[in-house]
Amino acid sequence: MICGWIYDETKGDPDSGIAPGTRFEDIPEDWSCPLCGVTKADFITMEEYAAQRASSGPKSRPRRARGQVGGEDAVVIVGSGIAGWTAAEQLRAQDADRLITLITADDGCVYPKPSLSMAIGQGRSADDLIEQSGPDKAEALGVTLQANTRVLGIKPKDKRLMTTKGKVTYGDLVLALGASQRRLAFEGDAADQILRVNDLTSYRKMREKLSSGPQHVTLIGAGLIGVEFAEDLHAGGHRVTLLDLGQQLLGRLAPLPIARRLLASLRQHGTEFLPGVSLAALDTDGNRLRATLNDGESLTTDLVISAVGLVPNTDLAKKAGLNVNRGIVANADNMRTSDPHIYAIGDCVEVDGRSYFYIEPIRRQAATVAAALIGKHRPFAHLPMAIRIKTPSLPINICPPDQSVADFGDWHVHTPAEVSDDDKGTCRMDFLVRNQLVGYALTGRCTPQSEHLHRIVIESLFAATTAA
Amino acid sequence: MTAVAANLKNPPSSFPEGELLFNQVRDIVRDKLAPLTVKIDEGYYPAEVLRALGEAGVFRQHLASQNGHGEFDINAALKAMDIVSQECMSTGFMVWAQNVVAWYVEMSDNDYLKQTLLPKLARGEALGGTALSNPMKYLAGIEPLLVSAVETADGFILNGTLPWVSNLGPDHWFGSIFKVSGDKPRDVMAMVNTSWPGMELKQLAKFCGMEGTGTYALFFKDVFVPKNHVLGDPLIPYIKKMKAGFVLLQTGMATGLIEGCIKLCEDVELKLGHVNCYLDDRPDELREELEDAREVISSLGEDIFNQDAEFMRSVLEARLLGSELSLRAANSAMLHTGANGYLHDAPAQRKLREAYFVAIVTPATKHLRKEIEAMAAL
Repeated sequence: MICGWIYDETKGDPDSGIAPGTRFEDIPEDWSCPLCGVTKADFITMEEYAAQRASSGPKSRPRRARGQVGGEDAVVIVGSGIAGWTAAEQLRAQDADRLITLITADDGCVYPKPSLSMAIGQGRSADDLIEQSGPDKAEALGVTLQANTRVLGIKPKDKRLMTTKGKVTYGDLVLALGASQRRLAFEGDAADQILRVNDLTSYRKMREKLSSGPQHVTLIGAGLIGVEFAEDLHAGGHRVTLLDLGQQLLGRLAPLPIARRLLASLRQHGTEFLPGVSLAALDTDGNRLRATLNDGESLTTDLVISAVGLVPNTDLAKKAGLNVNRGIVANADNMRTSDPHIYAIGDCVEVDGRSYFYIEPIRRQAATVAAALIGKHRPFAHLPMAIRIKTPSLPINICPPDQSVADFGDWHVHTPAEVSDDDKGTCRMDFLVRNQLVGYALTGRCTPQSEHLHRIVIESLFAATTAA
Repeated sequence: MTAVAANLKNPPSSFPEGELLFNQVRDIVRDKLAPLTVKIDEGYYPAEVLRALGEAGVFRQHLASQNGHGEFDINAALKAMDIVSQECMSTGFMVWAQNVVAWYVEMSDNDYLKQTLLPKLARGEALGGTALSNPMKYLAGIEPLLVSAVETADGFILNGTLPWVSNLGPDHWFGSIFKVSGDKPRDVMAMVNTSWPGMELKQLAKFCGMEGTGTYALFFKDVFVPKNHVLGDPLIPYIKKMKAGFVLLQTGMATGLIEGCIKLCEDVELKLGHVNCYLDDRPDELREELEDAREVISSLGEDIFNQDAEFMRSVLEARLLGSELSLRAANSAMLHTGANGYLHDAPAQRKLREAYFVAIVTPATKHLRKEIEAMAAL
């Protein structure tokens, strides 16, 4: 028993002439261990051995030797977008000692996501956009970063995650899973090549595809992201065709007169807009691509980008049995989901029936969750969204009417566009409900009014809520 | 009552299913496979074990056309592979190869092969390898396709080389993807036999383990492949249909290996628990992770024809998890068994080599990460 070799009576020790089935007491006294040579007298029974050794073992389970990812006391954040990192920052600012692990599918680097639709014109590469590497950010915050790791499943009952690197336990879990560009199914052998640009990886891929010089790009979807990309691609020297099933640009966001002004300025620099049209099929055509449209027309293009709207990433939450609607349902009080130890923030979440795909509310959600995690109450308030559309040829600021009042009012022209050549884009439109300002859209020289008007909208919304 | 009794005596299906099948697999593993495990690791090709597994029905569970109940039961195929791999992952790997060769035919539109070859593959009468290591890497943009072809009226003439194809021997089958030149250049996949004129198998390399897996370099010199052996033309839609099954089926090797490693750790618990408790990745912790992994894999197995990119990504991730956990479990088996695991014929060190195989065999860990990253941008 010095070396740990076990004499098994059913096997014997045939190499030393002990037949299988020989009882230990029947072995000759001069027999010795075939491995280390100690004699029969040094052997003890397994039971004696186990008892002897057990008494020397520790009373409780020893600590793990390896650096801990997650843990029963840890806050585990899934996702390294603005929501995930802001939650880590806010929590660390208020609790210097809390164990925090951040798990992310990418490398965790920090970059300003809104820049993705304005960086081509600025000549900035994907790497230029990175403000801080994941490991540097994690070190600065005292956070354990588990990068390049995807979460495969959540077990709320056992408070653990299944990841591509194995299990991670948590005390509290913060889901910052983001949203994805809706994936539409298209026909054709090149349908797989359609890009959806929603993070640094896909941005990098787009830049690679555009690196060989000026090209023709087809954008599916003329919403916020679509028009911003159209401008930015033009600024980068590319030609753009915009497709949209609707009849105007910024369909769900901007009133028609504003959309028309934007269209005029996009057309002026050669961008084409095909209203009421979408892609049907994409096929390879030599070195280029042939896009067949659903009106039967076709066009030759080099790159197709789909931007038809964001869909919250809810799969994990759904599979874990959390309450999921369009987004993961969370409570405005503390951003808690239907599970008491799971929180959700950012693009993936839904609060009182609303999704928030903008930076400002996401930062406030992160502050709410950080407060909740240290036992404080800092509820997330719904505020009307002030959106700046990054279309340099015609700057636009919009505060769309909240969904609760959108059906009860209309857009009205407040300041009509002037006709002089240097100022043709200037316009202000108000969304009025019973003469109350609940939304606005500004272009050109009217855009500086945004801050002031936003305050008025917030006040009227507040008045409406208290009146109700 | 009599009718029921008669049915019990003569079950309608002649193939055992469910636990009956798995018990039969356990019997084959204990009686026929276990005595050969060390020999297989060193170079013995266990044809008789594979044929016994075939007779029991191990290679037909995922084949709706062959298994008698008309369902693509990926999970039963995985479980059988898991049981085999707990003892010997070389054999588990060959079970995968055989399953996949049959899968090639099942997923094709080739009625000729479905009627002639598929029943034999499903029974284990005909054996074969996957041969898609190079093509899978080609499709992922990792290396060029190594077999080229000229098209004739009734077939293709192949030339080239495929390194390291497993579960091969004389008169074995494999699926080959080749680059067709000429008027209609394209990639095509077809079933090829190792004994056809112009085919040559060479055992060039000696590996550190798993030597009994019938692994050869394949040389093609003007090999004629008749058109009635074509599996995929056009290739891409065919690959898309069968890829999830191809990849997910491999996870049975990983879960079996991990289970085997956990058992090695548990076996020495009485003797070494007082000091093994200082190790990371204890058997109870690994078991929790293994059960989670099996749950993830089995939910994917029930949805194998899902064509969503998200689904394929989940399959690749499950496969990646299999590699990561295998490495940790085998490492843990080594540390838990100590010097006894380091002995020449010890299971722990064999499992360590098997674990590296899981992480290296196509799609390897690096290959999976490349594909998963590429998907992030689509």
